[in-house]
Amino acid sequence: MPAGIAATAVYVVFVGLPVLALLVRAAQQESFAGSLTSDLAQQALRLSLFTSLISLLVMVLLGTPFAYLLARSHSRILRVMDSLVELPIVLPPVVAGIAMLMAFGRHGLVGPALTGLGITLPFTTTAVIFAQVFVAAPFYIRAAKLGFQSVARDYEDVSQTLGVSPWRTFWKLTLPLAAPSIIGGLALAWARAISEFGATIMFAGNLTGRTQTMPLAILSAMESDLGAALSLSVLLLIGSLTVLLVLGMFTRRQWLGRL
Amino acid sequence: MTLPKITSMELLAALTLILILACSSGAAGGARPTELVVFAASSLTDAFREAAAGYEADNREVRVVLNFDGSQRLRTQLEHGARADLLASADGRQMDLLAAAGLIGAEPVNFTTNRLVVVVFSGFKPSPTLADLAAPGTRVVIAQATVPAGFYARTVLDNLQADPAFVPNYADQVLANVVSEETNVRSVVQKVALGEADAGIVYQTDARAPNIITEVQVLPIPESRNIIASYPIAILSGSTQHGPAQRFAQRFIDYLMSEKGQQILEKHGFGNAVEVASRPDPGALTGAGDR
Repeated sequence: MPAGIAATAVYVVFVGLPVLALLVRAAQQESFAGSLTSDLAQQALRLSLFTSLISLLVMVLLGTPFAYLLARSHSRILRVMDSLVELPIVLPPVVAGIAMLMAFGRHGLVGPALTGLGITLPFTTTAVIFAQVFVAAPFYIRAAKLGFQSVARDYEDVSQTLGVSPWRTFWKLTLPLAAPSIIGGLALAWARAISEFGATIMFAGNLTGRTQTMPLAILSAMESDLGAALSLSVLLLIGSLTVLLVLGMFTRRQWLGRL
Repeated sequence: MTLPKITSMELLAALTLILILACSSGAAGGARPTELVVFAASSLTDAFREAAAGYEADNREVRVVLNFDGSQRLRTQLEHGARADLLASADGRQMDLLAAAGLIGAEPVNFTTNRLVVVVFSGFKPSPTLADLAAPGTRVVIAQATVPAGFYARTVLDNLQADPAFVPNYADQVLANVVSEETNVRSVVQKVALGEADAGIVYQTDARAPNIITEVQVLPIPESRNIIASYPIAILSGSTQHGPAQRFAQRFIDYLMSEKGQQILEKHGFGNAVEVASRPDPGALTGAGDR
């Protein structure tokens, strides 16, 4: 028992101290808002919000049908797909970046084909979205799949025997019941997308206003404007805590009842 | 006969003991060589690896540990408490900042020089010229302004803009073509070698690596418009705390300044230390660093 408490204390200090130190140092600056007025900080904020929200949209559009398929189907191929979905979670982000460069780069596997269509991906804001979707989508798909799995198939069958179309059944029955899981997945995926660094700097590059998201800006600012780096870090920290709050809310039973 | 059961606490104690022994066995023992930690600009990668090997051959009791990165990144690490014996930077700015923070242990010594070139991806176009960097649609990569190579690149662009052979807003047009600002110069040359960028401004030493030279064309910059980057090396104040290393740190500087060291640097495309005296400080030419 004492060993357990000691270990817990060590871990809490280990994780808590850096977070506390960040808040303390950021608060010691002359002006929190002032340090965020620089071009670097403003552009990074706007870019991060814009790209992460677009990425979320893409994840929802592509991931929801996929998650539903994974939840309902029993085919062997889809079992294998399951592992593919999980891969970006364990793959080191910088490796993901290199891999995307090898695939979508101007001289990558499909690069020439894309160039033929007039599309160049590296060093564009689109590349930032690619990187974010690649690393964050699994979190959403996984959560959505679990959500759909929790909706008993019987309900859907009964709905359809009552004459409701499959599409309406999905919208009015399955989706609302799976909503808590889905919203939790969205929150986690958003957190992962906005914090993406390795794949972004490798595939999208680092240009203020176009590809320099908040994590990249923090790295660049560290070397010249520590205040901006600290303030951006605190903003991301607040964002992360908000995500945890949302996740916590949606795993509690009372919320499930309210929906 | 039954074996005694080991409780979890005893197991934890045993593991801790093993950990402590493993760590301390590293510290003890006179046969273990002294470590000399050298932070060096990424452009020095190949040259310093060879120099370190030569130095270790002459000084068997020392093991050189090298850390390559953008000079500004190394300076930041040192400001935040990283321990190193020597810093070899690509410009004097980092030294000035460290001196202001009280981290320099001895006067910096300029040990070599470098110049910039433009590298163009081999598949870009048949006979590229410097003017192509300003052409619309050219994808240019340079280092960030805080990186020595990035600062120098902007200085050179301004110098070229002042040259009547180039359009009056050459520098602005080239900077408008920049698609990425890297945090160290080696990343710049890599992006060009991969063909992801059309052109980049790097050191002449970066373009020489065997895996790079086959992928790029090198465009020289007119000598009168180019900069001479002088590289200072300094013993850091943190080094004086662990006595033996400081002696070896000075010896490493001496090695670099010796004929053997200068030959290694020259072999990798660097200029020799003496050149510095004949040219004005590139930082004084224009306010290019503000771009």
